[in-house]
Parts: sequence; structure tokens; C-alpha cells
Amino acid sequence: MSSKPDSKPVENKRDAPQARSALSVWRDWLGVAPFILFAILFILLPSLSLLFGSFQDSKGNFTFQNFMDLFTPDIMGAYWVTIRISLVTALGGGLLGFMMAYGVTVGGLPRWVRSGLSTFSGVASNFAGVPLAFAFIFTLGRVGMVTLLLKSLGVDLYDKGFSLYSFWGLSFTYMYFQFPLMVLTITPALDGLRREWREAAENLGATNTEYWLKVALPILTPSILGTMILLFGNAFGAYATALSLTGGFINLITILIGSQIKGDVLHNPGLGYALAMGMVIVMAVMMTIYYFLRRRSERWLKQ
Amino acid sequence: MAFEVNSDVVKNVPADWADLLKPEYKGQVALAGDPRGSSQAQMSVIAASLANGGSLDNVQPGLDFFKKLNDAGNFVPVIAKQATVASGETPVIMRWNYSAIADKATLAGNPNLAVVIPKTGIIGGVYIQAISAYAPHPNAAKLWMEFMYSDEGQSYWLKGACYTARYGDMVSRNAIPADIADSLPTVTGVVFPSLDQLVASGKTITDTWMTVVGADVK
Amino acid sequence: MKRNTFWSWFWLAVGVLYFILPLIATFLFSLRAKKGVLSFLAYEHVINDPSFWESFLFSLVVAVFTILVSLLLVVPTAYWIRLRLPQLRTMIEFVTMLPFVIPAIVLVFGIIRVYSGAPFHLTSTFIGTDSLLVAAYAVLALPYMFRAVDSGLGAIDIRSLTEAAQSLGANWFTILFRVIFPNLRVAILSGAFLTLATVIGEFTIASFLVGIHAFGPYMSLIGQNKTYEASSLTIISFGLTWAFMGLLQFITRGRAESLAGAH
Repeated sequence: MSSKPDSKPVENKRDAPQARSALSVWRDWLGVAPFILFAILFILLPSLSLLFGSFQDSKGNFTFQNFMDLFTPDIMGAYWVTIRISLVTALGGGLLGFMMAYGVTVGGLPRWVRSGLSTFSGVASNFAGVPLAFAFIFTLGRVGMVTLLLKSLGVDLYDKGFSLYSFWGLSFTYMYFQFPLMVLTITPALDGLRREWREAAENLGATNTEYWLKVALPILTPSILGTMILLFGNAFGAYATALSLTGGFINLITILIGSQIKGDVLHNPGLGYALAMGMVIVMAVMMTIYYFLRRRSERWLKQ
Repeated sequence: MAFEVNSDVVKNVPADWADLLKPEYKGQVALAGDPRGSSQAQMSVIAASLANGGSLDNVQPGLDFFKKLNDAGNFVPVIAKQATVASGETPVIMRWNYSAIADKATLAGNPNLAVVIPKTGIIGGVYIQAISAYAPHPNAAKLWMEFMYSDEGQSYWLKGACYTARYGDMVSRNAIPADIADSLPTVTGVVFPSLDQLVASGKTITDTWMTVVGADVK
Repeated sequence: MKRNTFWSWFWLAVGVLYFILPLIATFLFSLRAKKGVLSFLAYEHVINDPSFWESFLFSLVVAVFTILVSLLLVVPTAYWIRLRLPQLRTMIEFVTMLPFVIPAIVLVFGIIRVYSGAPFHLTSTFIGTDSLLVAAYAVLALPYMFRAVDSGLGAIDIRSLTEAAQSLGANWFTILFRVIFPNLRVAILSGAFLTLATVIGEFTIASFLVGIHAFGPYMSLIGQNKTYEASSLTIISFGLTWAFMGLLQFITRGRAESLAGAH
């Protein structure tokens, strides 16, 4: 994905020296201008507006109160729960996705399995919100298909303490769109694991485990990390699914924001914006960690 | 506020708030909203409070009731909808009676729904309309309000089993068609909280639901 | 080469089971619209509902516009970065990662806040709101589109193509639209289909900007009020999306997933 600016000096020799003038430079920037404009209008401006809004109270006066309010146990708890569920589903979905992607690439499953899997993953990774919540209620709810099936076999899930309407139930539901995303993004990376490397390793006497630990995983690490962060962000920002499944009984930040701004009962948009800023900060921290880890793993690759 | 009950799943339809605590309703009772964000759910809590010795100014008994419900294992922490009632997931829910009647009509017996006004703790909610001060077309909005409060507009609400603001006036002038008038449920003893009471109760519920009832998903 | 595929099949089976069971449960439930009888009544209701078609077509049209807008933004930019402005790569990549940092619900509020008041007043008209929707979705699609197009560009030798076109007298417009775009067909299609799938089912942004005109909020509304239709709608929308994706697979003959956000 990185490109090297190779032939630029050659071009310089071909063009007349004056041709590389300010006009050309201007034209180059013009090429990316629409994109920059779009980014400013629809990413930067809304974010700034929210930033300003988070410092205002309902009368429009400047205040730090919204940010102070963030440090209540309820809200801190909400951040923690949201982070936890994102971590759990990123790791869990990542693991299952990885195993499946492994199966269809290195693992030697037939071609048709792979195309079927990638089509399905494309669809499933966007299957979220109301339909997904309902589907899981119909499957694992108190009178869900699987619950009743297991009950007829003598296993009563809910008696044993399981509940779809819990942290783990919601995580399990989230993974439905997490692991297809993992499959989609990691498959090309696994494709890049050339067979020659494995054969070379085996030639040198490496066992399966050693191959994975010393060759394959280090190569895959940047991609794996990147996808995990993707999964984390995906879960962190999820709103419709959680709302439809547990409808606010689980303390997620996205739901809190929604309630504040929908204004059915609560109406403190300033707090909503502050919560949103908090989310952005958490994500920014995660992205920083990701870039840091990625630099380190890419250093391995360069060796 | 009424109980919407899937009578195909629940053989013994509960008649009052106290019935909900019975062990036969284990894992069956739910609210139709999040009490920290939904007016309908909050009103359910206030109604429960009225039925358990509280008042419109004291919503604590309502919170205690839900705590008992949760401890007994009867409470399901999911936002109930028509689908969850019909599938049997949450066969007993608390809902505005007009919504429950609408659900009953939609499902048309598949499954059978019972709409029960509890014997105690009968609360009524009001909806108000407002026109935004920033509205680009305030006069169009005002015309719409005119229509809503005219006889014809009000009759639509009545068809949907809601009591309307001008109900009394329309009755005295015999302005309601007979079939609609017959289909309206008769309820007595309804209590309407004031706006201040609503705000105060709402705040109490929002602040203490988690600690008192603890029906939070951690 | 003999490889023990047991574990591969095992994990595949686990995954397939996990995928399929909820769908089966939903499907079975959707057949119960008529009491005591298994029938497709719920499906009939959905297909006969004009709002279903209106909202689905609306979201489809929005998706098409989103794809066009993001292609017009992303392809020239990715191209220019490779060709002329490689020093901007880090910054542009950072910008394309921003939509991950900003969750949808945050984005929609920012957009409403900025564009509903003076001087834009975009939310007062349908065209304005719809345009905001397209813009918001273009932001959401940005990471996927950019990555797909970037990988695609990396696979073709744009420098030679550009110089060849230039030596034949083509201007930049011609180069972009008649040389680069056609060579990126697979990458563009893959990005386009991911965008399509995302936009059609999207709920958060649509519900705050256009309400039930869009398919996502429509599904949610049905979910609130109509039991059996909700589940049949789930199956229908799943099936439709699958059909589109299958179409992509067919067109690109299996190279699709290699560009769906590859690193």
C-alpha cells in the first residue's frame, strides 16, 4: 500500500525546467482540493460544532459543567461497559473470524466455500440493528428456537443463569457482524502468506508452531491489529443493535447520547455532546495505540 | 396505563399490580421502554407507585415494586414491543391502553391479547403539541393544530382509542359517531400527574433506577 | 499437498452454525403470521406495502448517489497522491480513518447542528436533507472506498498509463475517466457494494435526518408495530442484500473480497 515516488526526478529532466512551475504545483493541489473541502465541510466542521456544543449549557453559556458531569459513576461506568464490550467482541469476533479466514485460505477448503463465505460476510457484516436483535431474540430469547430446543433436550439455559439480555448476550449478538468483518479484512492478508515461506521454514526444520510464532504471525500482525481496531470502533459506535436488544437497560454510551438528544425524558444536549467528545477521545486513544503497535510490528517486517 | 397480556401464553391474566409479583409470571414481565429515557416506562413506575401506597409526589414505592419484581425473577430487562409480546418473550407488559388496543387489532388473534386496566394505580398520560419558535412555516403549523382540534381531527384520535382534549365537549354535543363511542374503553379513577410532578418523579427514577432496582446489564 | 483440513472444516461449521441459526429462527417465526398455519402471509403483507418499496428505493437511490460522490472524491485523490503528492499520504490516510473515530450518532448530530441553522438552512427542504444524508454516508464509506481504490491503484502501473495517455495528448479529465477509472473496475465495484450494503440497512443517521423515508428506520418502525412482518422483512432485506453481493461476486469472479478493505 505504500508507494515510492520513483520517477519524479525523471519527469523533471524531461519537462522544461520552467514547466515545473507554480502552476503545476497549484494544479496538483487542485486535484485533492475537492476531497479536502469535503473533509472540512463534513468531518471537521461537525466535529468542531460538537466540541463547542459540549462547552455550552442549555442557555448557550460557556461552561465546563458538561465535562464535569462526565465523571459521575453512572457515566464512567457506561464508558467502561462500552469499552469492555468493544474489546470482548473485537477479540472474540477477531478470533473466530481469523479461524474461518484461515480455513478458507491456508487451511485448504474448496474454492466455492471461500466465495460463499465472502459473499455472506459482506452481507452479514452489515446485518445489525433491529433485524439482528430480533433474530437473536427469536433464537436465544426465553422462548427462542435454540432455547426451546435445548430445553427439550433437558438443558434449561435461563435456569442456569444465561440471559440474552446481559453483557454476554449482547456481546454474542455483536459478534454476528464483527467476525464477518474480520473475515473480509484478514483474508487478503492471509492470501499474502506465500506458501514458499512455509516451505522454507519447514525446510529449515521449523515445526508448525514455530512457523506460526516466528514467521506467519509477525507478518500478519499489522493487519490483525488494524482489523481489531476496526472491530473495536465498530462495536464502540454501535447504537441500533444495543437499543433494539436491551433497549437502554445496558449502560452504553451511544444509548446515553441518544437519550439525551432525543429528549423524551431527559434533555441535556450539552451533556450529549460532551459524551460524544468522550467517545472521540477514547477512539483517538485507541487509534494512537494502534499506530504505535503497528510501527513496532512493521519494524519486525523490515528485518 | 394498562397491561398488555399475551393470553395464549399466559393463562391467568393478571388483574392488578400485586398479581405481577406472583411466581407464575416468572421471566414474563417487562416495560415498554427504558425508565431512564422513556416517558411510557416512567409512567409505568409512577402507576406502580400509586398502587403500592405512593402518590404522585412520591415515586419511591414504585421503584421498590420493580425491585421486588426484579428480585423475584419476574422482570425481563428488555424493551418490550408487539413482537416480543406475540412471540411469548415478554408476555406481560405495561403499555398505554391505546397502543395495547392497536396491538390487539394488528395481531387479530394471532396470538390473542388481553388489554387489562389494573384495579389500582390507574394513571393517565397526556400528550401536548407545540409549535417551534424557529419554525419556518408557523402558520401552516397553526392550521394543522386547528385541524387536530376540530371535530373531524379529534374523531381520528378517538378511533385510535385515545381520549381527546375536547372529548367532553363533543359528547355533550353528540358529535361522536356511535360506533366510535362504543368502542372507546371506559375507565374510571384515572389520575393525571401535573408537569411538575412528572419532572420530579422522572428525575428520581432516572437517578435511582440503577441503584434501587439494579436491573442493569453489567 | 496433503493437509489436514479437519480443523478448517470445524471452524467453518461453527461459523456457519452461528450465522444460520438466527436466520432460521427468524424465518420460522415469519411463517407464523396465520394462526396455527405456516404461511407466507407476512411476506405478502410486506410486498404489498407501498412504504416498503418507497423506502427501499429511496435508500437504493441514496446509496447510488453516495457511491458516485465518494468515487468522485476518492479516486482522483488517491490517484493524485500516488502520482504527484506522496507527501500528503499520511494526512489523507488519517482523514480516511477519522470516520472510525467519530461514531455515526456523533456525526449526525454534528451535521445537524452545523447545517440546520444559518447560513445553510439545509434541513428545511427535502433536497437539502437528502443531500446531507448522502454527504454523511460518503463520510461513513470513506475508509472502505479509499482502501479499496488505493489497493486497486497499487495493483496497476498508473505512472506508465498516465505517461502513455499524456503522450497521446490526453488531458487530466480524459486520463481520469477514460484510463484510470476503467482499470479500477474491480476495486470500485467492491467498494461500491460494501457502501450499498451499509447504506441500505443504516439506521442511526437515517432516523435522525429523514425518518421513515429510508429503509433502515422503516424496518425499525415495522419492528415496533408489526410482529410477523418485521421478521419477514428481515429475511427479505437479507435476501436482497445477498443477491446484490452475489451479483458482485459473479461480476468480479471471486476477486472481490481481496479488495474489501485490504491492508
